[in-house]
Amino acid sequence: MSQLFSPRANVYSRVIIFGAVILVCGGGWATSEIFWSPYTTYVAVPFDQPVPFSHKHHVGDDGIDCRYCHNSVEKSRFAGMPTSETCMTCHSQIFNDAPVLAPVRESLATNMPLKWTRVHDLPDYVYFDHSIHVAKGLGCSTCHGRIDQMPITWRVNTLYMKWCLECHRAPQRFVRPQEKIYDMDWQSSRSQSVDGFQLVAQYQIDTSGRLTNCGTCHR
Amino acid sequence: MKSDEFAEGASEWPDELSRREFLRLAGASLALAGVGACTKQPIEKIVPYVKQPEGMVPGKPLHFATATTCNGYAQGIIVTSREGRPVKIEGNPDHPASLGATTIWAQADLLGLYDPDRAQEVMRGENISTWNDFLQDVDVALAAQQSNAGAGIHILTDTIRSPTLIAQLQAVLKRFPNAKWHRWNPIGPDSINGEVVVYDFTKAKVIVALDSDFLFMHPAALRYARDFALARRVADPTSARMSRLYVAEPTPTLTGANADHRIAIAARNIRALAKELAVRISASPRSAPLPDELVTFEPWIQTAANDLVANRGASIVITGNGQPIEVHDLIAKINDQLGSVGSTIARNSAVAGSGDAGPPITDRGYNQTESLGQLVSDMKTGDVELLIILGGNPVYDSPVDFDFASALTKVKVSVHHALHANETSRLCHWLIPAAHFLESWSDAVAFDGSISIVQPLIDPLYANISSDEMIGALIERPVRSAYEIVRETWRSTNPTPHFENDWRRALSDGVFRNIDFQSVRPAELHSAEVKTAEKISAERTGRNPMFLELLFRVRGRSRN
Repeated sequence: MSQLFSPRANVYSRVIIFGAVILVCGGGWATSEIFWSPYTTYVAVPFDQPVPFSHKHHVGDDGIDCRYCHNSVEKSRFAGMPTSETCMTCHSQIFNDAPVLAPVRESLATNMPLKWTRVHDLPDYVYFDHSIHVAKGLGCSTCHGRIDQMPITWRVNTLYMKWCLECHRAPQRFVRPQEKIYDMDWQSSRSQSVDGFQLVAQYQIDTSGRLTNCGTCHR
Repeated sequence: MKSDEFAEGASEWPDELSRREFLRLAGASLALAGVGACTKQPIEKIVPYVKQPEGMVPGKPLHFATATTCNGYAQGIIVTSREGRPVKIEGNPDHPASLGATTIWAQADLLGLYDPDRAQEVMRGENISTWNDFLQDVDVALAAQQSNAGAGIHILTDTIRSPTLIAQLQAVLKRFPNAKWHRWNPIGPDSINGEVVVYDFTKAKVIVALDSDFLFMHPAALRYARDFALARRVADPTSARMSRLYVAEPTPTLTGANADHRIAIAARNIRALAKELAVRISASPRSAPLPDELVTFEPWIQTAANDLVANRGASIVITGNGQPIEVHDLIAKINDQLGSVGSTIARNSAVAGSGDAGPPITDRGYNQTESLGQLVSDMKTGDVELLIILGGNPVYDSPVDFDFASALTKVKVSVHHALHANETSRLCHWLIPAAHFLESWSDAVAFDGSISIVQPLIDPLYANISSDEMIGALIERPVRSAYEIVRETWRSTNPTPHFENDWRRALSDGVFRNIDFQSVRPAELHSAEVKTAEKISAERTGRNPMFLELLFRVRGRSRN
């Protein structure tokens, strides 16, 4: 009876065993890299917009309040996007013939809306409400970053569930006083570890674990 | 265990797909579904308004009061609208016919709006056409009618109770005195006694319903069910007592299920039953002994009659639309005799659908089958040169003896205005796609005469034309929008400076004019007609021991 395994079988088995381990680990690593890369998360990826709108100019330089354009942020799940008419309140007076604003003027003239590309886009299976987050002390810059320094808008956070849960598990790390909500410069100070809990109590944020229930966001 | 519990082969797994094969496929599908989810978020657009509507907060729904109709009667509803799209219908608490409730049909109206099978384009025969082309065709047809005062113009409608539409149709008849307006509602009674009767079930101690499903299949069912429940709910056991409900009905209904005393009786015997009841409460003299078919119901009749007499002035006797006009007259007489009119019953022939806006629409003695027959014979002789059919589907649902379809082909210009293309549309020269009530302005009258303005929630999804614009095409150029037509109807009844306020309030509340129940005067009953009814009733109540009764029960709502 001949040998069942030839001497080469040792090599084959090693290659297969180690190859499989490398393939699985490498595959996992590659998937994870793609998953967390800007290719998938769109973090720091600028989008093409009909008008290259600069928050840096409007917020940082001009000091326009967020709510001038995003006027339903305190009232509705949707923060609101400025209507063409809103843009033209100023731009009928200043830069009123700037070529870059031609799409806005055309929109108002033809009554056809501008079509912006969504920068912050949650999946449809997530329920998100701006008004409650603002009311409970979450500032704009916590999620949207230093929008006042962005010449064109990009995403600074992944908007992944892991990222949401960071705050839903420990809101005291992120909440800020109501008067600082729209403050782009606000940074959590050293006393946040104390102030945070006070603010959580003051805002009556539910700490019983309800914030991390599936049904809180996946309704 | 019984071995032949299932049909032969029913418990066997078919050979084609083995259990193992099935699991393999199911597993593969599951795995692939997981892989399919491994995509990144697609790029999406965000589209703000050009000019944001007043009072609108993006992301928040708006609510508007309007009205749906049940057999032409208004039922107030409140429609939720998200970003300009109606998404949910609920009852209007301020509307007397709703009190915050809706029918199953009102809930489903939303599906009618978004139904992809709706008629979408103006069709001339097989070809897509336009409203302006249609108007040109109508102009030619109307020009030919000027000389003979519109003798060739015929309009066929469903039961209509919209004051504006009635006023418009009256205007057509005024402009073309020889034109004819026919009404055909396949599920309605042949003729009705023309009276509007409103019941107050909160005050009734004894209710006798003869073939009337007033708790469900009734335009005021939502209100009546609420009122009825109120009188059945006794908070204080010492002073008040529950109302008692007697029901005689040929088919099981919700009302019968709520009855304290229910009998199953053939619909044809309701007439004799009403007659007997009238005798027992001394509303009319006995002219014949108790008919044989009522013998088994003797105890029920006697108990009901005793109860009615004992609760004089606090009783309701009601019958359904499936019963002929004689029964309605008998019931009216019984209620008169019991002194209920003015306390539990308000009767007025001038309440609904007439008011200030036009003549009564339910003329006493109007027989819709005769009217339709007249139309068909006119069509067959070629006398009908312009036929406008508003809604409905007479080719399908008119009596087959009329042969409506072949008569329709002899009409010079036939126009069908409908939500859906159906058998009638196919045989008409023109199909005008009707606007859904959530897309157009209109008005409607509730069971008690309250008027609601029907306001649209959305622009027509397709090239839809409202009924008012359709009839407007016969009398005016340019055809005004439905909004202007409806508004003008009410503006002309209220030419005061505060009309604008009233109008806006009506749109906000959903009720234009709430008729006070008690202010409605009881109308005189026509005694001669009741005598005739009694005579017919006596003649027709013959012995007929074996019969098969075919009843058409309305389990839906007529279109329009």
